[in-house]
Amino acid sequence: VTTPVSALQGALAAEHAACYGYTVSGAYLSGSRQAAAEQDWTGHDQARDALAGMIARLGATPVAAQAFYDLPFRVHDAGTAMALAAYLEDGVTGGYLGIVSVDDQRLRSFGALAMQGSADRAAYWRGRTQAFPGLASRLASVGSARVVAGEDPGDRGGGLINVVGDGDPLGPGPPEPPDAVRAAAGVDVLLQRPRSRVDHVQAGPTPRRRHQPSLQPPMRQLIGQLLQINSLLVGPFGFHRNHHCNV
Amino acid sequence: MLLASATTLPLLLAIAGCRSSDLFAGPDPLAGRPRPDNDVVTLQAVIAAEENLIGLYQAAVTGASRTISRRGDLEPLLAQHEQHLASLRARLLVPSGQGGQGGQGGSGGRGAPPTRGGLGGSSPRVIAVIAELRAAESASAAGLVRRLATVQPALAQLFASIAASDATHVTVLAGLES
Repeated sequence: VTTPVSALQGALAAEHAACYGYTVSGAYLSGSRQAAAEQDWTGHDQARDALAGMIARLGATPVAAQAFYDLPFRVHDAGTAMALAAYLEDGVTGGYLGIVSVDDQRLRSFGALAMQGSADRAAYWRGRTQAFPGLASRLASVGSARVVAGEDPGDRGGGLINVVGDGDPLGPGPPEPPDAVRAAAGVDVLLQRPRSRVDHVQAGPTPRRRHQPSLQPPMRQLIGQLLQINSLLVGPFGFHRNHHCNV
Repeated sequence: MLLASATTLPLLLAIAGCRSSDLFAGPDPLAGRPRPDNDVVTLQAVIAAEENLIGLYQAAVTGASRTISRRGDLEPLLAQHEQHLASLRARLLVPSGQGGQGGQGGSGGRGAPPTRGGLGGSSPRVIAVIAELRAAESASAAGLVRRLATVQPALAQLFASIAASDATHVTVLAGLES
Protein backbone atom coordinates (compact mmCIF):
# COMPACT_ATOMS: atom_id res chain seq x y z
CA VAL A 1 0.00 0.00 0.00
CA THR A 2 1.35 3.38 -0.98
CA THR A 3 1.43 5.81 1.89
CA PRO A 4 0.89 9.53 1.35
CA VAL A 5 4.41 10.28 2.52
CA SER A 6 6.10 7.77 0.22
CA ALA A 7 4.01 8.91 -2.73
CA LEU A 8 4.79 12.55 -2.08
CA GLN A 9 8.47 11.72 -1.66
CA GLY A 10 8.45 10.05 -5.06
CA ALA A 11 6.95 13.12 -6.68
CA LEU A 12 9.42 15.35 -4.85
CA ALA A 13 12.35 13.28 -6.09
CA ALA A 14 11.04 13.67 -9.63
CA GLU A 15 10.73 17.42 -9.16
CA HIS A 16 14.29 17.62 -7.84
CA ALA A 17 15.52 15.80 -10.92
CA ALA A 18 13.46 18.02 -13.19
CA CYS A 19 14.91 21.14 -11.62
CA TYR A 20 18.40 19.85 -12.27
CA GLY A 21 17.62 18.59 -15.74
CA TYR A 22 16.11 21.85 -16.92
CA THR A 23 19.27 23.72 -16.04
CA VAL A 24 21.03 21.46 -18.52
CA SER A 25 18.34 21.61 -21.20
CA GLY A 26 18.11 25.37 -20.96
CA ALA A 27 21.78 25.73 -21.72
CA TYR A 28 21.24 24.29 -25.18
CA LEU A 29 18.10 26.21 -25.99
CA SER A 30 17.61 29.77 -27.07
CA GLY A 31 14.91 32.35 -27.56
CA SER A 32 11.38 31.31 -26.77
CA ARG A 33 12.40 27.74 -26.07
CA GLN A 34 14.85 28.84 -23.44
CA ALA A 35 12.16 31.05 -21.98
CA ALA A 36 9.85 28.05 -21.91
CA ALA A 37 12.53 26.00 -20.17
CA GLU A 38 12.99 28.72 -17.59
CA GLN A 39 9.26 28.93 -17.02
CA ASP A 40 9.09 25.18 -16.54
CA TRP A 41 12.08 25.21 -14.23
CA THR A 42 10.35 27.85 -12.13
CA GLY A 43 7.22 25.75 -11.97
CA HIS A 44 9.13 22.69 -10.87
CA ASP A 45 11.01 24.68 -8.27
CA GLN A 46 7.74 25.93 -6.84
CA ALA A 47 6.26 22.46 -6.95
CA ARG A 48 9.12 20.91 -5.03
CA ASP A 49 8.83 23.58 -2.36
CA ALA A 50 5.14 22.85 -2.10
CA LEU A 51 5.70 19.10 -1.93
CA ALA A 52 8.40 19.52 0.70
CA GLY A 53 5.97 21.55 2.75
CA MET A 54 3.30 18.89 2.46
CA ILE A 55 5.72 16.17 3.51
CA ALA A 56 6.95 18.19 6.46
CA ARG A 57 3.40 18.76 7.62
CA LEU A 58 2.93 15.01 7.61
CA GLY A 59 5.84 14.73 10.03
CA ALA A 60 8.43 13.40 7.62
CA THR A 61 11.67 14.79 6.30
CA PRO A 62 11.48 15.72 2.63
CA VAL A 63 13.91 13.84 0.46
CA ALA A 64 16.83 16.03 -0.54
CA ALA A 65 18.05 16.64 -4.03
CA GLN A 66 21.10 14.73 -5.13
CA ALA A 67 24.37 16.55 -5.52
CA PHE A 68 24.37 15.65 -9.18
CA TYR A 69 22.39 13.50 -11.55
CA ASP A 70 23.30 11.15 -14.34
CA LEU A 71 21.49 12.12 -17.45
CA PRO A 72 19.91 9.32 -19.46
CA PHE A 73 21.65 10.37 -22.66
CA ARG A 74 24.07 12.94 -23.90
CA VAL A 75 22.62 16.40 -24.32
CA HIS A 76 24.51 18.32 -26.97
CA ASP A 77 22.04 20.39 -28.95
CA ALA A 78 18.53 21.78 -28.97
CA GLY A 79 17.00 18.52 -30.10
CA THR A 80 18.49 16.47 -27.30
CA ALA A 81 17.76 19.27 -24.84
CA MET A 82 14.08 19.12 -25.75
CA ALA A 83 14.17 15.34 -25.55
CA LEU A 84 15.58 15.62 -22.06
CA ALA A 85 12.85 18.06 -21.07
CA ALA A 86 10.22 15.63 -22.32
CA TYR A 87 11.95 12.83 -20.45
CA LEU A 88 11.96 14.87 -17.26
CA GLU A 89 8.29 15.69 -17.60
CA ASP A 90 7.50 12.02 -18.14
CA GLY A 91 9.28 11.29 -14.89
CA VAL A 92 7.35 13.98 -13.08
CA THR A 93 4.10 12.63 -14.48
CA GLY A 94 5.03 9.20 -13.19
CA GLY A 95 5.86 10.71 -9.81
CA TYR A 96 2.46 12.29 -9.45
CA LEU A 97 0.83 9.12 -10.72
CA GLY A 98 2.03 7.47 -7.52
CA ILE A 99 0.09 10.02 -5.50
CA VAL A 100 -3.09 9.02 -7.30
CA SER A 101 -2.85 5.57 -5.72
CA VAL A 102 -3.13 6.73 -2.11
CA ASP A 103 -6.42 6.56 -0.23
CA ASP A 104 -6.71 10.26 0.50
CA GLN A 105 -9.17 11.69 -2.01
CA ARG A 106 -7.73 15.18 -2.02
CA LEU A 107 -4.27 13.86 -2.67
CA ARG A 108 -5.59 11.77 -5.54
CA SER A 109 -7.07 14.85 -7.15
CA PHE A 110 -3.93 16.81 -6.47
CA GLY A 111 -1.78 14.16 -8.15
CA ALA A 112 -4.11 13.84 -11.12
CA LEU A 113 -4.20 17.57 -11.76
CA ALA A 114 -0.44 17.82 -11.44
CA MET A 115 -0.15 15.04 -14.02
CA GLN A 116 -2.12 17.16 -16.45
CA GLY A 117 0.40 19.97 -16.19
CA SER A 118 3.44 17.78 -16.68
CA ALA A 119 1.79 15.82 -19.51
CA ASP A 120 1.04 19.11 -21.24
CA ARG A 121 4.63 20.22 -20.89
CA ALA A 122 5.88 16.86 -22.13
CA ALA A 123 3.65 17.17 -25.19
CA TYR A 124 5.11 20.57 -25.89
CA TRP A 125 8.69 19.39 -25.68
CA ARG A 126 8.04 16.15 -27.49
CA GLY A 127 5.84 17.61 -30.15
CA ARG A 128 3.17 14.99 -29.70
CA THR A 129 0.61 13.94 -27.17
CA GLN A 130 0.52 10.56 -25.49
CA ALA A 131 -2.41 8.23 -24.94
CA PHE A 132 -1.33 7.27 -21.44
CA PRO A 133 0.92 9.83 -19.77
CA GLY A 134 2.72 8.29 -16.84
CA LEU A 135 1.56 4.83 -17.79
CA ALA A 136 2.95 4.61 -21.27
CA SER A 137 5.73 2.19 -20.52
CA ARG A 138 3.80 0.20 -17.96
CA LEU A 139 0.46 -0.30 -19.56
CA ALA A 140 1.02 -3.97 -20.19
CA SER A 141 1.50 -4.73 -16.52
CA VAL A 142 -1.43 -2.61 -15.47
CA GLY A 143 -3.59 -4.47 -17.95
CA SER A 144 -4.10 -7.34 -15.56
CA ALA A 145 -6.06 -5.22 -13.15
CA ARG A 146 -9.65 -5.86 -14.10
CA VAL A 147 -13.10 -5.39 -12.77
CA VAL A 148 -15.67 -8.12 -13.19
CA ALA A 149 -19.20 -6.99 -13.78
CA GLY A 150 -22.07 -8.72 -12.06
CA GLU A 151 -20.08 -10.48 -9.38
CA ASP A 152 -19.93 -9.97 -5.69
CA PRO A 153 -17.42 -7.23 -5.02
CA GLY A 154 -15.79 -9.35 -2.41
CA ASP A 155 -15.13 -12.11 -4.87
CA ARG A 156 -13.57 -10.22 -7.69
CA GLY A 157 -9.88 -9.91 -8.02
CA GLY A 158 -7.57 -7.32 -9.38
CA GLY A 159 -7.52 -3.61 -8.97
CA LEU A 160 -5.26 -3.39 -5.99
CA ILE A 161 -2.35 -4.86 -7.82
CA ASN A 162 -0.15 -3.19 -10.34
CA VAL A 163 -0.34 0.19 -8.80
CA VAL A 164 2.55 2.07 -10.24
CA GLY A 165 4.48 5.13 -9.34
CA ASP A 166 7.74 6.69 -10.26
CA GLY A 167 10.09 9.00 -8.57
CA ASP A 168 13.31 10.52 -9.65
CA PRO A 169 13.58 9.99 -13.41
CA LEU A 170 17.32 10.49 -13.39
CA GLY A 171 18.15 7.90 -10.80
CA PRO A 172 18.75 5.82 -8.86
CA GLY A 173 18.61 2.75 -10.97
CA PRO A 174 20.11 1.84 -14.28
CA PRO A 175 20.17 4.63 -16.82
CA GLU A 176 17.95 4.43 -19.82
CA PRO A 177 19.30 4.93 -23.30
CA PRO A 178 17.72 7.52 -25.56
CA ASP A 179 15.71 4.83 -27.31
CA ALA A 180 13.98 4.11 -24.04
CA VAL A 181 12.61 7.60 -24.07
CA ARG A 182 11.02 6.99 -27.39
CA ALA A 183 9.79 3.58 -26.44
CA ALA A 184 8.16 4.90 -23.31
CA ALA A 185 6.54 7.70 -25.19
CA GLY A 186 5.39 5.63 -28.09
CA VAL A 187 6.35 8.39 -30.44
CA ASP A 188 9.18 9.33 -32.69
CA VAL A 189 11.02 12.58 -33.35
CA LEU A 190 12.99 12.65 -30.13
CA LEU A 191 16.63 13.37 -30.61
CA GLN A 192 16.14 13.94 -34.29
CA ARG A 193 15.21 17.55 -34.71
CA PRO A 194 13.77 20.19 -32.48
CA ARG A 195 10.10 20.81 -32.62
CA SER A 196 8.72 24.14 -31.84
CA ARG A 197 5.29 23.07 -30.80
CA VAL A 198 2.77 20.33 -30.34
CA ASP A 199 2.66 18.52 -33.63
CA HIS A 200 -1.02 18.85 -34.31
CA VAL A 201 -1.16 22.56 -33.81
CA GLN A 202 -0.99 24.45 -37.04
CA ALA A 203 -1.64 28.05 -36.23
CA GLY A 204 0.10 30.58 -34.08
CA PRO A 205 3.56 32.06 -34.37
CA THR A 206 4.61 31.46 -30.81
CA PRO A 207 6.28 28.16 -30.08
CA ARG A 208 5.09 28.27 -26.50
CA ARG A 209 2.35 25.89 -25.64
CA ARG A 210 -1.03 27.22 -24.76
CA HIS A 211 -2.53 26.29 -21.53
CA GLN A 212 -6.18 25.57 -21.16
CA PRO A 213 -7.61 28.13 -18.77
CA SER A 214 -10.33 25.85 -17.52
CA LEU A 215 -7.82 23.28 -16.37
CA GLN A 216 -5.08 25.38 -14.87
CA PRO A 217 -6.95 27.51 -12.34
CA PRO A 218 -8.31 24.49 -10.46
CA MET A 219 -4.76 23.25 -10.15
CA ARG A 220 -3.60 26.51 -8.66
CA GLN A 221 -6.62 26.59 -6.43
CA LEU A 222 -6.05 23.06 -5.27
CA ILE A 223 -2.42 23.70 -4.53
CA GLY A 224 -3.43 26.77 -2.62
CA GLN A 225 -5.91 24.82 -0.57
CA LEU A 226 -3.62 21.94 0.10
CA LEU A 227 -0.40 23.71 0.63
CA GLN A 228 -1.43 27.12 1.88
CA ILE A 229 1.26 28.76 -0.09
CA ASN A 230 1.56 32.38 0.86
CA SER A 231 4.65 33.17 -1.06
CA LEU A 232 7.29 31.26 -2.87
CA LEU A 233 10.73 32.60 -3.24
CA VAL A 234 12.37 31.48 -6.43
CA GLY A 235 16.09 31.46 -6.48
CA PRO A 236 18.23 32.67 -9.32
CA PHE A 237 18.04 30.47 -12.34
CA GLY A 238 21.16 29.58 -14.21
CA PHE A 239 21.64 27.23 -17.11
CA HIS A 240 24.81 25.22 -17.22
CA ARG A 241 26.36 22.69 -19.53
CA ASN A 242 28.43 20.91 -16.94
CA HIS A 243 26.61 17.71 -16.28
CA HIS A 244 27.18 14.05 -15.91
CA CYS A 245 26.15 11.71 -18.60
CA ASN A 246 26.22 7.97 -18.58
CA VAL A 247 26.61 7.38 -22.30
CA MET B 1 -45.66 -28.44 -8.78
CA LEU B 2 -46.62 -25.71 -6.39
CA LEU B 3 -43.40 -26.14 -4.44
CA ALA B 4 -41.40 -25.73 -7.59
CA SER B 5 -42.81 -22.33 -8.28
CA ALA B 6 -40.27 -19.59 -7.98
CA THR B 7 -42.92 -17.24 -6.70
CA THR B 8 -44.27 -19.45 -3.98
CA LEU B 9 -41.02 -20.88 -2.72
CA PRO B 10 -39.85 -17.69 -1.00
CA LEU B 11 -43.21 -17.39 0.69
CA LEU B 12 -43.04 -20.91 2.03
CA LEU B 13 -39.49 -20.38 3.18
CA ALA B 14 -40.44 -17.18 4.94
CA ILE B 15 -43.24 -18.95 6.74
CA ALA B 16 -40.77 -21.59 7.84
CA GLY B 17 -38.33 -18.92 9.04
CA CYS B 18 -35.80 -19.86 6.43
CA ARG B 19 -34.07 -18.11 3.55
CA SER B 20 -33.38 -19.76 0.27
CA SER B 21 -29.66 -19.41 0.99
CA ASP B 22 -30.18 -21.79 3.91
CA LEU B 23 -31.06 -24.50 1.42
CA PHE B 24 -28.50 -23.84 -1.27
CA ALA B 25 -24.77 -23.55 -1.11
CA GLY B 26 -23.30 -20.47 -2.72
CA PRO B 27 -25.07 -17.31 -3.75
CA ASP B 28 -28.75 -17.05 -3.04
CA PRO B 29 -30.41 -18.07 -6.30
CA LEU B 30 -33.53 -16.14 -5.48
CA ALA B 31 -31.86 -12.96 -4.41
CA GLY B 32 -31.60 -11.73 -7.96
CA ARG B 33 -28.53 -10.40 -9.68
CA PRO B 34 -26.04 -8.97 -7.20
CA ARG B 35 -25.73 -5.24 -7.20
CA PRO B 36 -22.82 -4.16 -9.34
CA ASP B 37 -19.70 -3.09 -7.58
CA ASN B 38 -19.00 0.63 -7.57
CA ASP B 39 -15.95 0.12 -9.76
CA VAL B 40 -18.09 -1.65 -12.33
CA VAL B 41 -20.66 1.12 -12.42
CA THR B 42 -17.97 3.77 -12.63
CA LEU B 43 -16.06 1.94 -15.32
CA GLN B 44 -19.19 1.47 -17.39
CA ALA B 45 -19.96 5.17 -17.14
CA VAL B 46 -16.42 6.10 -18.14
CA ILE B 47 -16.58 3.71 -21.09
CA ALA B 48 -19.85 5.26 -22.22
CA ALA B 49 -18.36 8.74 -21.98
CA GLU B 50 -15.32 7.66 -23.96
CA GLU B 51 -17.56 6.18 -26.63
CA ASN B 52 -19.44 9.44 -26.91
CA LEU B 53 -16.21 11.37 -27.22
CA ILE B 54 -15.05 9.05 -29.96
CA GLY B 55 -18.36 9.56 -31.69
CA LEU B 56 -17.76 13.30 -31.69
CA TYR B 57 -14.31 12.86 -33.17
CA GLN B 58 -15.51 10.41 -35.79
CA ALA B 59 -18.17 12.81 -36.96
CA ALA B 60 -15.65 15.62 -37.06
CA VAL B 61 -13.04 13.58 -38.92
CA THR B 62 -15.61 12.31 -41.41
CA GLY B 63 -16.77 15.81 -42.04
CA ALA B 64 -13.21 16.97 -42.41
CA SER B 65 -12.57 14.89 -45.51
CA ARG B 66 -12.43 18.04 -47.59
CA THR B 67 -10.16 19.84 -45.18
CA ILE B 68 -7.24 17.49 -45.04
CA SER B 69 -5.15 19.50 -42.65
CA ARG B 70 -7.81 19.51 -39.97
CA ARG B 71 -8.46 15.83 -40.47
CA GLY B 72 -4.77 15.16 -40.02
CA ASP B 73 -4.87 17.18 -36.85
CA LEU B 74 -7.74 15.25 -35.37
CA GLU B 75 -6.98 11.69 -36.37
CA PRO B 76 -4.07 11.25 -33.92
CA LEU B 77 -6.28 12.45 -31.11
CA LEU B 78 -9.04 10.09 -32.19
CA ALA B 79 -6.56 7.23 -32.27
CA GLN B 80 -5.54 7.96 -28.70
CA HIS B 81 -9.15 7.96 -27.59
CA GLU B 82 -9.61 4.58 -29.23
CA GLN B 83 -6.63 3.41 -27.17
CA HIS B 84 -8.31 4.77 -24.07
CA LEU B 85 -11.50 2.91 -24.88
CA ALA B 86 -9.68 -0.35 -25.55
CA SER B 87 -7.84 -0.06 -22.26
CA LEU B 88 -11.01 0.70 -20.34
CA ARG B 89 -12.90 -2.14 -21.94
CA ALA B 90 -10.07 -4.53 -21.20
CA ARG B 91 -10.59 -3.84 -17.52
CA LEU B 92 -14.24 -4.71 -17.50
CA LEU B 93 -15.00 -8.39 -17.76
CA VAL B 94 -18.63 -9.13 -18.41
CA PRO B 95 -19.49 -12.78 -17.68
CA SER B 96 -21.10 -14.63 -20.55
CA GLY B 97 -24.85 -14.45 -20.56
CA GLN B 98 -24.91 -11.00 -19.08
CA GLY B 99 -25.60 -7.88 -21.00
CA GLY B 100 -24.19 -4.65 -19.92
CA GLN B 101 -22.84 -1.52 -21.30
CA GLY B 102 -19.27 -1.38 -22.40
CA GLY B 103 -16.76 -4.01 -21.57
CA GLN B 104 -15.53 -6.82 -23.71
CA GLY B 105 -18.83 -8.61 -23.52
CA GLY B 106 -20.94 -5.52 -23.78
CA SER B 107 -22.68 -4.05 -26.72
CA GLY B 108 -19.52 -2.38 -27.86
CA GLY B 109 -21.55 0.15 -29.69
CA ARG B 110 -20.51 3.71 -30.16
CA GLY B 111 -22.44 6.49 -28.66
CA ALA B 112 -25.12 8.09 -30.72
CA PRO B 113 -23.49 10.04 -33.51
CA PRO B 114 -23.78 13.76 -33.16
CA THR B 115 -26.41 15.35 -35.29
CA ARG B 116 -24.35 18.28 -36.36
CA GLY B 117 -21.96 18.21 -39.26
CA GLY B 118 -18.23 17.72 -39.25
CA LEU B 119 -15.40 19.93 -40.32
CA GLY B 120 -16.27 20.16 -43.98
CA GLY B 121 -18.14 23.39 -43.66
CA SER B 122 -17.09 26.97 -43.50
CA SER B 123 -14.36 28.26 -41.28
CA PRO B 124 -16.70 29.36 -38.50
CA ARG B 125 -18.22 25.88 -38.60
CA VAL B 126 -14.76 24.35 -38.27
CA ILE B 127 -13.98 26.51 -35.32
CA ALA B 128 -17.28 25.64 -33.71
CA VAL B 129 -16.68 21.91 -34.09
CA ILE B 130 -13.18 22.19 -32.69
CA ALA B 131 -14.51 24.25 -29.81
CA GLU B 132 -17.06 21.55 -29.15
CA LEU B 133 -14.35 18.91 -29.12
CA ARG B 134 -12.23 21.00 -26.81
CA ALA B 135 -15.10 21.46 -24.42
CA ALA B 136 -15.80 17.74 -24.50
CA GLU B 137 -12.15 16.96 -23.80
CA SER B 138 -12.08 19.40 -20.92
CA ALA B 139 -15.25 17.94 -19.47
CA SER B 140 -13.87 14.44 -19.86
CA ALA B 141 -10.68 15.31 -18.00
CA ALA B 142 -12.61 16.95 -15.20
CA GLY B 143 -15.08 14.09 -15.01
CA LEU B 144 -12.34 11.50 -14.73
CA VAL B 145 -10.68 13.38 -11.90
CA ARG B 146 -14.00 13.57 -10.08
CA ARG B 147 -14.34 9.80 -10.33
CA LEU B 148 -10.94 9.09 -8.81
CA ALA B 149 -12.14 9.19 -5.25
CA THR B 150 -14.26 6.07 -5.21
CA VAL B 151 -12.36 3.57 -7.31
CA GLN B 152 -9.48 1.26 -6.54
CA PRO B 153 -5.97 2.65 -6.84
CA ALA B 154 -5.03 0.95 -10.10
CA LEU B 155 -8.22 2.11 -11.78
CA ALA B 156 -7.71 5.59 -10.36
CA GLN B 157 -4.29 5.71 -11.96
CA LEU B 158 -5.71 4.70 -15.31
CA PHE B 159 -8.37 7.40 -15.06
CA ALA B 160 -5.76 9.98 -14.08
CA SER B 161 -3.57 9.03 -17.01
CA ILE B 162 -6.44 9.29 -19.47
CA ALA B 163 -7.45 12.60 -17.92
CA ALA B 164 -3.91 13.87 -18.44
CA SER B 165 -4.05 12.77 -22.06
CA ASP B 166 -7.37 14.54 -22.49
CA ALA B 167 -5.84 17.67 -21.00
CA THR B 168 -3.09 17.64 -23.61
CA HIS B 169 -5.76 17.30 -26.28
CA VAL B 170 -7.40 20.43 -24.92
CA THR B 171 -4.18 22.31 -25.53
CA VAL B 172 -3.89 20.97 -29.07
CA LEU B 173 -7.47 21.86 -29.89
CA ALA B 174 -7.10 25.31 -28.39
CA GLY B 175 -4.27 25.86 -30.84
CA LEU B 176 -6.44 24.71 -33.73
CA GLU B 177 -9.13 27.19 -32.81
CA SER B 178 -6.90 30.18 -33.28
